[in-house]
Amino acid sequence: MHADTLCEIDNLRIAFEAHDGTLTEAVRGISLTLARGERLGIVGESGSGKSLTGRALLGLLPASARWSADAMRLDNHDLLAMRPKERRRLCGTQMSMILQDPKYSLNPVMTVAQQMREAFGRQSPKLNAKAMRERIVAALEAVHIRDPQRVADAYPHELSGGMGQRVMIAMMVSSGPRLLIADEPTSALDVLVSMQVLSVLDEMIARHNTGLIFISHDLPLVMSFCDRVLVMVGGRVVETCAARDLAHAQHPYTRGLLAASPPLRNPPDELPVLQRDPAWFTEAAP
Amino acid sequence: MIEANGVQVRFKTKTGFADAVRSATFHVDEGEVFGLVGESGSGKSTVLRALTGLVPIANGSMRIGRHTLGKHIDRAFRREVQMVFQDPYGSLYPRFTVDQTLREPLTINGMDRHDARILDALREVGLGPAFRFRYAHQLSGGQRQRVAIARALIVEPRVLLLDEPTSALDVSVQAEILNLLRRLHRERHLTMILVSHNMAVVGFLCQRVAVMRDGEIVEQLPIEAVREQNVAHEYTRSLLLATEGYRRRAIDPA
Amino acid sequence: MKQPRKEWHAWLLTDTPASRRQAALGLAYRRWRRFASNPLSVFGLATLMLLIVFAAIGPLLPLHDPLRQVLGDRLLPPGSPSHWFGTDQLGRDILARLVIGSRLTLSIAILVVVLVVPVGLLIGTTAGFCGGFVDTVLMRLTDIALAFPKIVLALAFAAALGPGVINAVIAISITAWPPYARLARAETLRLVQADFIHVARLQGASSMRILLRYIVPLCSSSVIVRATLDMAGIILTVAGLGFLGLGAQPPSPEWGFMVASGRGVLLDAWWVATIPGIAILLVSLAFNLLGDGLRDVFDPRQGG
Repeated sequence: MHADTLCEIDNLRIAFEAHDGTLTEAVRGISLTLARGERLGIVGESGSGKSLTGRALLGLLPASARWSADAMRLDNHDLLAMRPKERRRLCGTQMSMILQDPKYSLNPVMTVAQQMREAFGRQSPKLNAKAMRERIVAALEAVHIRDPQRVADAYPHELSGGMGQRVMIAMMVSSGPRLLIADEPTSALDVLVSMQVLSVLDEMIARHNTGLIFISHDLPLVMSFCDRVLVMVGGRVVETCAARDLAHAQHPYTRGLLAASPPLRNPPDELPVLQRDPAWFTEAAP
Repeated sequence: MIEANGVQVRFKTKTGFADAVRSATFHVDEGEVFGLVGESGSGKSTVLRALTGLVPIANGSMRIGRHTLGKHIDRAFRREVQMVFQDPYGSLYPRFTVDQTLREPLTINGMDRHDARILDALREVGLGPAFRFRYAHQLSGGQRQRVAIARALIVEPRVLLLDEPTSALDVSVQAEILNLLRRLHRERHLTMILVSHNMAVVGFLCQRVAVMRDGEIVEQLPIEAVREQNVAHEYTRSLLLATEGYRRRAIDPA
Repeated sequence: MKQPRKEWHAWLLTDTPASRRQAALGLAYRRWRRFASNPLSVFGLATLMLLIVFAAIGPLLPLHDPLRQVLGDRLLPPGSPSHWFGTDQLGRDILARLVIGSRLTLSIAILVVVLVVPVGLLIGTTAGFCGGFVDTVLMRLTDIALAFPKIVLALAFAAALGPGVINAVIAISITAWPPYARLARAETLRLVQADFIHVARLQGASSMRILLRYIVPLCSSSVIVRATLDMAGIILTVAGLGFLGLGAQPPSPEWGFMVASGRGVLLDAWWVATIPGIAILLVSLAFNLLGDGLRDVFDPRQGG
């Protein structure tokens, strides 16, 4: 593995078993590499398998999933060979995930401070109560929350969507993990609030040189936030290129996806409709 | 065709009252597509629901055609104004087939030639007769929205209200639905009000736009002004900028 | 025989049904497949079908007369040549009493459910739909009914009107409907927020139409599942009342009463009390398994 490579996945396959034994393939041979501090976007529509790819890295697939990979590495750790306990130790310290809706990803019966204490307690078990409180408040200030003391003692349902995501970022990113997987982090937020949350995320990962895998259905957003983009359809990657080169994308799916967003200036009379080639969904991985 | 004057909508909360809409004044001409843009909590969906009579108005007045919205809503009004909702998974009754879903408004309003109208409605939204006896859970999101649109139009309304009709759909499916709406507007000369948080979607379908924030309309302008970025209010400007994607900028504390 | 079965299969599972009947049958078939994939649920269903069959054809079977006392054949053990399950202390054949008693048990349980479920459903959906004053009144009524303990009420009825099957049914029914009302009301409160209800109003549907055509059918599945699971409890309550002498009266071969009367000879002739007890256990278990299976089938998260 190249010295600069942070994360590597080779030929990941995920299938789901129905109760009568039939297998449905959701991810059909994904390979990707991520350099240190790089921002990789994975774009796809619903059902493309993009979220599953992120969860496979963290070992968060549901019990009915049957998966396999030729290689899955984070830094020098071989994730396939690790025991589940060791892998869990990596989560939260070396790799983190932020999810779409803080209403569902934050524990509703614990205050923010209690949850952050749990998160930080694993990395720094020796901190006493006062030091831990200071760490929590400092983390909340780092995500530009104006009143960190009040927010620390609040319950998740008392926070707005944007505030909740900032808390998630504070919990998951402030300890400086090597890799962050963000699964649709702004899809549940209003457009102005998303911009704010993305700025906060931008600052945090730049500060710690964290590698980012940004999973989203929003191609223009990923183009503007990430360095490199992977486009997925039917469980396979159909295009990989630098974000700035996406406007000259080759694959018909990517071109179709780009053209499908209505442009604000000079919109056409009719939006070009994406023609789905059934081969994308059935062809075996090359 | 549609007029709203100083509309105020109040909801009772545990501690008193909350104004979802403070004072909204706008009008829509016949055959026009009017857009209501705003973020969540701006009151745009509430305005739409007030127009259907689903939500009572605390102050001000609203008029659609000859009907003034008040305590009593008559059947004729129900045929003239229809609405398409945001969530394709919640707006179709799970126990009905598509056929029953489309038949229901016909039965309630005592219309004739059910089978013919149902087949016409399906064809008009681009679904073939093969879909006629499927249940809601056997349809994709885009297909469900098409059924919802067919259901709204089967009673031949003059006004169609759309509450974020494509927000829950994939981008490629959204494009199909937007094309469909545009075609239907042209063919049926509908008066439409489209609520969305997405300026680009509004820009594709609408001729005039009102921007709402915190229950108030902060600006009303023709769509050409939006396209040329010729906007007066800074909130509108920030919404427009956001559609262009992420840009590294100074962070506002929350 | 494979070919016709495959054709039926394809016809039922097609995703482009050509008529409402085909769509409804296809949905029922899918639900059946989901139900049948759990062997325990199928066992529950099979046991109950067996019970129903025996209850129905019981009098036609070549069994001994359940009421005939043959004092010379008292307390014969199970496995005896002409009495497969043995006899009780009055020489009556236990197998015959079991089969005929199943008619009683089943009819009482079904009678209760048939009375209780529609009442609970109606009260609950009306309360949830109308809200306000109607809701408060109906729910307070429900609270009052919930406060009565079943057995004590049955005792009171027996004291006032005399013991008997009908009185037992009335006593159980009065205390059994409140949970269904509460369940139906909770479901209704959730459904009233749904967009498809708003759509129905927008189309001009009257409140009655919305209630009966939209809300009641959706509440029915959870209520029916609950009723099936409760059947076990109702059977046990009926048996309990019979045990106390408040249900069916002797010489009726009601199972609970059989257990009670076998108490005295439990140590010497265990089968007199235990065999009806096992029957009660089996039937309760079967209802439980059936209810579990139904609940999985109707789980809304799986598109039921």
